[in-house]
Amino acid sequence: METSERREMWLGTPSRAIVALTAVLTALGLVLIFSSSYLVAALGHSGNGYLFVERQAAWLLLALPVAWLAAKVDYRRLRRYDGALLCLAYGCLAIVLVPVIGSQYNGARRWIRFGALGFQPTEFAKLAVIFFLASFAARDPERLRDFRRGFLPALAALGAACALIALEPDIGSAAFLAGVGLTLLLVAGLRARHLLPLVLLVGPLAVAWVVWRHPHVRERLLTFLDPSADPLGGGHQITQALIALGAGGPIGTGLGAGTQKWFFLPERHTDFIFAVAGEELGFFGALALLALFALFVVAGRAALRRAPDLFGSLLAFGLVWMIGLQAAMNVAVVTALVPTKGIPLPFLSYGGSPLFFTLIGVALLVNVARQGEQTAAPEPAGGPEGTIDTRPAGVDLPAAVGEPCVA
Amino acid sequence: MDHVSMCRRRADWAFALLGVVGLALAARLYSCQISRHAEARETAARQCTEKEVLPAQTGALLDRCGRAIAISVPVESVCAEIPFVEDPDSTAHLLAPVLGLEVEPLRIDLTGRAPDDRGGVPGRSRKFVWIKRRVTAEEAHAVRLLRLPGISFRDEFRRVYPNGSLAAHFLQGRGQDEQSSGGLERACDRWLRGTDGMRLVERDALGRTIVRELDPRVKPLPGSDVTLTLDLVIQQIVEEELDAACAEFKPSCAMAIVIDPHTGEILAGAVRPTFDPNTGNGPAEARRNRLVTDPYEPGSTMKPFIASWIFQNGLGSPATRINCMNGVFRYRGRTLHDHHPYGMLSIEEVISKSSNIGAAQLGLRLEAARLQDCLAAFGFGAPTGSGLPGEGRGKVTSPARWSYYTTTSVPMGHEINATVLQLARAYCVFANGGDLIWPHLVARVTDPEGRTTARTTPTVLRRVLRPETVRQMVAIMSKVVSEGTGTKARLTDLALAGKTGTAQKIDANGQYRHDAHVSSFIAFAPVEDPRALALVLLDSPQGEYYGGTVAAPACSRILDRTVNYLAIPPGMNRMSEATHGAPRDAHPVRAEVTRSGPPRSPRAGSGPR
Repeated sequence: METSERREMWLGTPSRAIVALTAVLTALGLVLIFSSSYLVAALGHSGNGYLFVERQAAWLLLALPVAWLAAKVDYRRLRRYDGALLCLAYGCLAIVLVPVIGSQYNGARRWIRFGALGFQPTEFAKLAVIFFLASFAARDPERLRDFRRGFLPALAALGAACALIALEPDIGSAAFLAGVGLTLLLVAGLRARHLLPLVLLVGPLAVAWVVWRHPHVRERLLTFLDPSADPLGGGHQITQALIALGAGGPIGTGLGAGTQKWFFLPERHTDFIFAVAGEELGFFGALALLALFALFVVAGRAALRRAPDLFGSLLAFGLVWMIGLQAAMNVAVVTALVPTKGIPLPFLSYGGSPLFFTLIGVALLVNVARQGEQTAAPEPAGGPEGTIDTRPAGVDLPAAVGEPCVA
Repeated sequence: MDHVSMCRRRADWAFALLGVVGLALAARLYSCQISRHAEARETAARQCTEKEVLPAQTGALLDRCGRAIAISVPVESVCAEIPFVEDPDSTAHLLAPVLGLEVEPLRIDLTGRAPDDRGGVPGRSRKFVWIKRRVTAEEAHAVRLLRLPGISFRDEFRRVYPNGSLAAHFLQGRGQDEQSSGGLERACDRWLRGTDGMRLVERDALGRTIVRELDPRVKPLPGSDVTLTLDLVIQQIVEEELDAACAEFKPSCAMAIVIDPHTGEILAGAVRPTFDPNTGNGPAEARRNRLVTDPYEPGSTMKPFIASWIFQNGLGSPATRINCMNGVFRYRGRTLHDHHPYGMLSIEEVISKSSNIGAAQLGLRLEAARLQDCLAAFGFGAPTGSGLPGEGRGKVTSPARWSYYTTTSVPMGHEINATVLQLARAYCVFANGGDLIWPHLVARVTDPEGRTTARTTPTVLRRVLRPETVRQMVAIMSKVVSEGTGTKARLTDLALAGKTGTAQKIDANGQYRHDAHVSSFIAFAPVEDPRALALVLLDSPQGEYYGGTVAAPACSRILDRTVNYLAIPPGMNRMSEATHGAPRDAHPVRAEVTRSGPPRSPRAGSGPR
């Protein structure tokens, strides 16, 4: 186990690999956003074809310093804010439901707007929930195995966030977060015995309720079962996505040369950007994109294995799992393997909040990897919790913020 | 320790699951992108590619000397791509005055609504509308200055008839999309019409043009030019003289035709009322080419055929005496009258004095069967094959319905219908030495490279009369002009041979009217070797009504001027350069054509700019 931990990846250390992959994916995202949105934006009200690229780049620039901080400050020092972050996430999720504050788009309140900037609390909540659950589970792994003291509180924290997200309504994100959170808890040691009845009992009920309450979800499910039934209506997105992928063929039409983005394919620069990639870069390009995500997961796994403590491991797992699963789900939607749901492709899809918080998440992952790389030389402390305590650390706060953790 | 390793183990399970999903996705991608590539590529291309037709230039119609009768010139049409139109309201207000259109219909057009749902029901929306077809250069310039989004231009062609209404009835004109509306434009359409080109245009889902090929995928191929047998100078002469006759006698309609009796080439033809093929509008009454569509009872112009058939069949000679019953002929309960009572007349006199009773006697002498042979031999009741759309074949009483009255009626030109062209062709038999010719209008077809691809050879359908019969008839018809009913056609320096015709019109009840006549005169000149045959017919002239008074002067002036124009002194040989491509130097215009070759129609915009 030690040898595998010490072995450097071919891209260098896991943290470097993660940074490199993130940079490549984000840059590719900008290129694809430009390709898919230029015409839409140029023919739009602003007449500026670079509108979406500029916005995405602005978010990127905004995210970089924050991400740098999130990578530099030892994640173990950030841990003390787990509860605060979760509460902040709850607050934001609650606020966005208030009609005056949350701005409505397509019948859902998902944004809090500050002038030109739109902020999606959901994206922040995903990160906060993962951070909190990892922290909660790592604090006392044995407690998690206890139904009342461990299972229920963790489930409550996760459930509250999911419920708030579902109220926006954003069923897709809520279900996704529930899936990621439960997996994280399972990995942390949650007993399948506890979870299984819940999933078997509540799962179908939740699905039934959602299908009953949200006609558009029902439509999407029906559309998924038979996309050709209404190719111009509900099945339009997926039909056009499949045409785009197929039109690409093995080597693609060439970057920028696709035609499906000319308003034929909806959500071309957001949720369905992978279809544009498939059309313009072809099968091999799309496969390469999948491979980049796979490499990202591999690098994340390496980071996980080098994490100096259980919290780091769980945090790394949560983040890698979130990004990897999201990518897989997005591609599955675009290739019509699962019903349509509004899940963006990490790094590539246009969207400020997703990019911002994904990059913060990556920064935390890098953080874990770096701490592992630094502490890997001396054998980590034998205790399950490593050297980090869970004491209240108010005294450390000023030092923690100001002190660089890198030698 | 235990927990960390459990975490790693369980995480690996999760990652393994993700790996399996990734492999499934890769497999799915293979099926989407490789297996269904061809089908999807086609669908994608189909939904964004459209073919844009590049209209081909229609060939020109030229007269026998190469002068332009109808040409197609490149013009622009204003159109709107609806998805690009930003503000239909202001666009309509700016555009309407410039193009002389009404604002409201234009505004509705610019919203893309189909014209049939103006009630506000959102119907099928259109992506492309024509604003105004074939605008002038000034209009196009003014529209360009407005720089309105969504308003663009398409290259098209406009059919132009530079001579206005000259020969309008032969041409008929072309409609909005260069569609021939009849006449020569339709008859020659297979040569004139080019092959439209095509270029691919890629559009987005809203129908907006994104990519337009610069070079056409298929280049438009211009049509061939057609050289007609018409001569614009003769045409002008005919139109002028017909106008003069109309001004004098105010007929309900009038027509004239000039044919080369030897070749069957139609040199000119005019109809009144007339129209301008440039504007393309006018009542259908004015547009009809009555020369070939309207059947008339020929009246006395029928008599020479009967006489010639008597001679041909050896049943008499020009000197044979016929009893004209002093102006009243009772036959099986029906009484025929002559305008002037005659006693005994020679057949020559029956024709030159145009005695109806004499003609009826000739008919009885011929008998029904030979009379029917006669009509068939001169081409009555059969189409002339001129190729003009809508040509009528006239009407000849069928042998089954032939009555004993018919035998007396037909010789004076009743109970038989013939078009002017049929009648003119039948007279060509006298003018050309006894042959029934094929009247035609197309001389040759020249492809865009200037090669002659088709050429008309004058065709003799059959020999109808022996030369001596023809000589007898020409002599008789010369007498018609010199001392008979057609003296008003007499010219001092040109000998004509002709025949007058005055037919009563039939009213709605089938009774002959005494107040409405069809007056006609047919003549050819010069008598020794006829170069041109002319027929003038006035329907319901006011005041005078005798063919010799109403139609003969106009006809003789036409022949006089035509023969002068042709510059053929009496006795000279025939000319037919339109068909044989070897014009003589006799005429200065033709000489010029010979040197420079047939003028080409302007081809400035044969390709899209």
